[in-house]
Amino acid sequence: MTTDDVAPGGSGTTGPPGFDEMYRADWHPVVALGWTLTGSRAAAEELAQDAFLDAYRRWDHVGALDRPGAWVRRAVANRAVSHRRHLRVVEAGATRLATAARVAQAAHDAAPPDTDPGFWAAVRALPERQAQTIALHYLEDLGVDEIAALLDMRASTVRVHLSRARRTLARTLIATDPEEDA
Amino acid sequence: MTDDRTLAALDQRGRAAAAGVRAAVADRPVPVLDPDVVRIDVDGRPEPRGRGRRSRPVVGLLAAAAAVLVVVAAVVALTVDGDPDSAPADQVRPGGPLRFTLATPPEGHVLAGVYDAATAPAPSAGETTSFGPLTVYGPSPSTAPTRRRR
Repeated sequence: MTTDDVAPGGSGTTGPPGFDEMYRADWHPVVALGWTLTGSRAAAEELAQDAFLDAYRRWDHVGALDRPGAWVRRAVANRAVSHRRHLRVVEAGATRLATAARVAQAAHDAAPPDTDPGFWAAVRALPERQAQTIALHYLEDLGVDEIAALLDMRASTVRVHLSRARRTLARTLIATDPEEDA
Repeated sequence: MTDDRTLAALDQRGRAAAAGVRAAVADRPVPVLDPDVVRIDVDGRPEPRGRGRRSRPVVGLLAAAAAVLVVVAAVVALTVDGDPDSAPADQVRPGGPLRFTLATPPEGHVLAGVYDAATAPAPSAGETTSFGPLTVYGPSPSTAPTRRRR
């Protein structure tokens, strides 16, 4: 399936009760999460399709959850981690085959300048759990408890990940004003 | 160390970047989700903890069990096919050397004893023993099946 198969105003599915609403409401946030964690919009849409398809096929379980959208987000976040690991292997092999440039281009496709690709590249350079928590924190303005529930982690663990991620990003991205240091 | 102003600047940049991503993804409509499509799941849903590694010990155990079976079968085969004289007397194996069996003596004769040619000097017909004159009967040495001697 590709994103060319658009259905204005709806998912086009005749799924079980509640699924279509969740799909329409959560598609874009889920793709945004996948995009920031993988660096590729195409990969994010593929991961989102897989996650929503999983949710559809096990809707008896997912639909009974308090927040089915959280289940899909967690699925995409975990798949993004797998995707990154997979991409590292592909890039390593591509380097040996002298096709690194083509792979790198495919991995960073369609990144419009106003999304601050440098910021998200720094996020992706973080350890996996830190990248997941910081992406959810900024993208969906989620707090510690909400992220903990979504990623099935303890709040204290999320707090540590967020703190370390913010400090690392601050050191990496935010230039220090020399006059302030003086 | 990062101070509060640096972190605040980071948060401002992060929220701006997030707004850019949210706007970018919204420029495409929600695609059709075809639940009947067969997707090739390259990345795969993370399996429950330990399931992927659990199959390896099972394969190893099966291989070990097969190896033990092969060794046991080999030992049994060597035992059965080893010394034919040490094999159980009630076993008859096609093609193997026949064990000595007592036949019915010729008419007019009585079986007075048995003699093992493999462990004693061969007697000659007509020799007188403590039982009386010796009569040897049975297949001719020239036509009898060759018996393996040790």
